[in-house]
Amino acid sequence: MDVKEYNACVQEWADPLLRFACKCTGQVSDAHDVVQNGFEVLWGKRKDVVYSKAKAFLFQVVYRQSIDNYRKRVKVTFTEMPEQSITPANPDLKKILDRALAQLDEQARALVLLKDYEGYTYEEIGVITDLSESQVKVYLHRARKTLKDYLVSVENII
Amino acid sequence: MITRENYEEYIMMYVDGELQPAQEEALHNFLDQNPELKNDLHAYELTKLTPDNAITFKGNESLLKTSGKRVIAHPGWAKYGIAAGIAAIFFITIFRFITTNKNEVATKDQVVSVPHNNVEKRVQETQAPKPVESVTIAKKDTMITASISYPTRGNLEAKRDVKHKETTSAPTEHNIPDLAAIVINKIEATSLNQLTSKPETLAPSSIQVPAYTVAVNTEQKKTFWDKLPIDDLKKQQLNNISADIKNGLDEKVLSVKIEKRKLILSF
Repeated sequence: MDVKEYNACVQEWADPLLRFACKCTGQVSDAHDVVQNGFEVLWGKRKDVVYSKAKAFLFQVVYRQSIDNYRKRVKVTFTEMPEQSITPANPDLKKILDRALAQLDEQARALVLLKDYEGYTYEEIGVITDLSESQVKVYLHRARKTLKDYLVSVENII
Repeated sequence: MITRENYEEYIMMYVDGELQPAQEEALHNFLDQNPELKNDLHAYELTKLTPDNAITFKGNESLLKTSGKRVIAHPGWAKYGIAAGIAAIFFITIFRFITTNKNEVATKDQVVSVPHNNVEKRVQETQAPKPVESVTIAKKDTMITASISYPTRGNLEAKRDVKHKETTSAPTEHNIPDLAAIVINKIEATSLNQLTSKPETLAPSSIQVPAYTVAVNTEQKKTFWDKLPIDDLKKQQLNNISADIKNGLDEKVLSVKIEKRKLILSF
């Protein structure tokens, strides 16, 4: 990968990586540092990473770094996502989904994000997260069921 | 085969986009047969996240790279190098100019003493009270005279010694120029003392210095041809041509051979 391709990666994948890292770490400042570190790692290994694999490489680095940061913290608080009371007058599905996402562990959350945000297949997610395809499928379905149950319960409340 | 026990797995795979078209058709047929389960499909579809485009990486220009090389040396070193080169050329030119001027002055001094070949030198010494001692250097038709006032006894004795040497040793083409230089140098050296001392009264005497022809083998003024990197024979030939041109070509034929081509000029 040359400088031009690297810069293309920055232009194309910086924002998606930040969104992914934000949801994984729960903090924008951490996510910013994680993404920056991810590109530094890519620049350091640019001779070994081809352009077509750069996106998966970046998500892999950012995923691992996000998981590490998350596990270093005792408690995760989504400060960038202020809590809002779920009332019938404010049934914002997106906010409810964010709260539902917070119910997941860091790995399940990353799997859902990789699937829904980036459209990766089970196999590709397995490469990024160092899981087998069947493991990805099981963990992802478990996470999806948790999200569905949360939404149903909220709807029931509503 | 989709059943009530595994239909959720198919619904989740459908939401994830992992079902084959045939499997999707089978799922829709199953849900049509079990319409009460369609709510589950709707609930799972709601769990699908959409990216928040409001979150962007601000300042991603800081991540861009311009080059893989780092500039360690001062980036403007080339300008300083050029300036130093120009300054060096300037000072070398001035140094050479000054050195050349000094050489020219020195050459002029030497030319006064021994300017040409075949100089006839005549040294005449007159006695006191004639206050002028003259050294005459005659060059065929022209004469250069150096006058020194207040001759002294020592001066005359020195001259006598010199003349004695001149008379005892046969003048040759090699030692005569040196001899002339010695005489002139002695006169010049003693003249400074004479300027501060009173002249002695000497009996009039006359020392006749025989005139003789001096063949001076001094370094001639180099011509343009002498500076060329060619052998001496060609230099001599070119000097002869120059002399002929200078003296005027009269009924002469000048042939110049330049790389197998012969140019003949008739005058």
